[in-house]
Amino acid sequence: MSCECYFPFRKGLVLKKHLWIPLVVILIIPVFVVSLSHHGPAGSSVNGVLVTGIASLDSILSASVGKPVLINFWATWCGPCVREMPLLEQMAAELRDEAVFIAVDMGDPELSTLEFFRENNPIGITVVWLSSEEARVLADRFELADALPMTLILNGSGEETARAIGARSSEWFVSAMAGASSGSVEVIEEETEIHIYVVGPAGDSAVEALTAEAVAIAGAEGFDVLDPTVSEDSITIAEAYLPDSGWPYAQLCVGGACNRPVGTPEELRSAFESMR
Amino acid sequence: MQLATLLATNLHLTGWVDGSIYTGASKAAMIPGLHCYSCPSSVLACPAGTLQSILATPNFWGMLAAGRADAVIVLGVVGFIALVGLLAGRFACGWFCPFGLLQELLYKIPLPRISFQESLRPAKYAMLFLLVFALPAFLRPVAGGSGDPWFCKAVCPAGTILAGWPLVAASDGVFQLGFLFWWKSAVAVLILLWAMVVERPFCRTLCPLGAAWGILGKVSVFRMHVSDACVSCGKCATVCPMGIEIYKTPASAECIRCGRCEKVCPVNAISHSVKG
Repeated sequence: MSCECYFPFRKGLVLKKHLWIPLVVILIIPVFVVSLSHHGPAGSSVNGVLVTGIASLDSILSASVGKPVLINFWATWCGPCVREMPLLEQMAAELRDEAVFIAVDMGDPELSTLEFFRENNPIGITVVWLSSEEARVLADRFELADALPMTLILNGSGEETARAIGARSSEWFVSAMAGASSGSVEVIEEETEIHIYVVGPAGDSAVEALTAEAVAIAGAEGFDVLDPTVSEDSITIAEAYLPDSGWPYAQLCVGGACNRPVGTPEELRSAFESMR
Repeated sequence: MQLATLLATNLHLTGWVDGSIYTGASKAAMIPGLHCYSCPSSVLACPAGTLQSILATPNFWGMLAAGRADAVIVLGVVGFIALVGLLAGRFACGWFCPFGLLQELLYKIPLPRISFQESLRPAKYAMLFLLVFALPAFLRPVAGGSGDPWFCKAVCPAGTILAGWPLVAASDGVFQLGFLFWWKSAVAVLILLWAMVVERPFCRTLCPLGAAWGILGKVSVFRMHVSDACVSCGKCATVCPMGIEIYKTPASAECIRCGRCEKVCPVNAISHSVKG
């Protein structure tokens, strides 16, 4: 028996012939370390109904007489809205026969943006998409603030029993829906903590201008500057559900509600004034 | 020529002073070599980094199928890498790449040399197909979110040395130094030390661009030849920075077309040519 056939020697020989394998295994350790440290929110795996226009919304409301209705106003660019959505879906599943849940997309001028979003983030509850013009009409009708998400609770008679600006906890939704069922009205105090996300490449003049305005509005502790070309920041952008295109932009959030992304300091100031 | 390339592609010297990254129009173009986009003075982009960043965009494959410009642009990056490789194989490694130059300079330090384990060479193909292509294109830590440029993030010593370290140094403690920073710093230090005792170890073992250009170099227009006059004296192998025996494998995927072998061949058996 030659030494090549003796198992321990042969094993060492094989390893020596393929040293690249342990080298690669070692170098991909960060893939596991980093990937396992990130978890996305649990949501629906299948899309529900998507309809468009105020008329469609009114049809759903007409058909819902006798049941409490939760209308959640949201948009794909609104991080708190997207984070809140799985909670609404869970509640909708639990109250399937007792209440109606509707998600009204108020902030995406193009239907294709919503469709693209739903391909990657299925939404199980009924979604109503509105054009910019119809969104303005509906905002006037319900006297909606210029911030998302916003939630209205209607009782079985179609009367408003509660509303909330900004994302809410499951306890609030349970309580609000119970209030809708019993007819009591809940008043929500708005949070006022301001936070601004400035997203764009470091050194970009537009980013610097938006950052300066963000400091003026929110103070030194009230903003984040995220560079989408830096991998750590891109993860933060994804986890906060901030828009991953269209940068540089700034997005103003007050409490748990956010305004649409804007591209200039003037628009950012205007958004701040409107949210006040 | 490597020094000239280094100077020509690093014109934003003020970046080293203020810790900023150049974001001008030239950053849309790529350097034929490994040179980090985030290097403060760089005015061009790294092909490997650009490819990973595009592949890592949310829903890359859906956007590509839909023909969206921000995904279709990947064809331009792949085309650039293919063009460089089909023209001259790994010529760029020997004549343009700044990180190749750095390794050559380190190898000039008079230290004892150690032998190179040939079985490490295939690791660069794993770097190319796994860390540059497959993981950025398919792995999503957050469902629906961005992927990661894993070669940049877990391995690339050029990025650590020319971007990570200087930007951290200029940030006045703003950057958080987490696991990845220390991991990549350790990888970079080990490669720098390795380059002092083995010539171009990164090029031989880990460079994904070298892997791509090496494969394409087998059919490139510009290539090396060894004539029948070769006496197999082995002098060419003693000067080869990649440690190959070109008289045995003139079309080696490892050859960086540096031409040193041509100069030392005692019988002028080694030459280069451009295929018609």
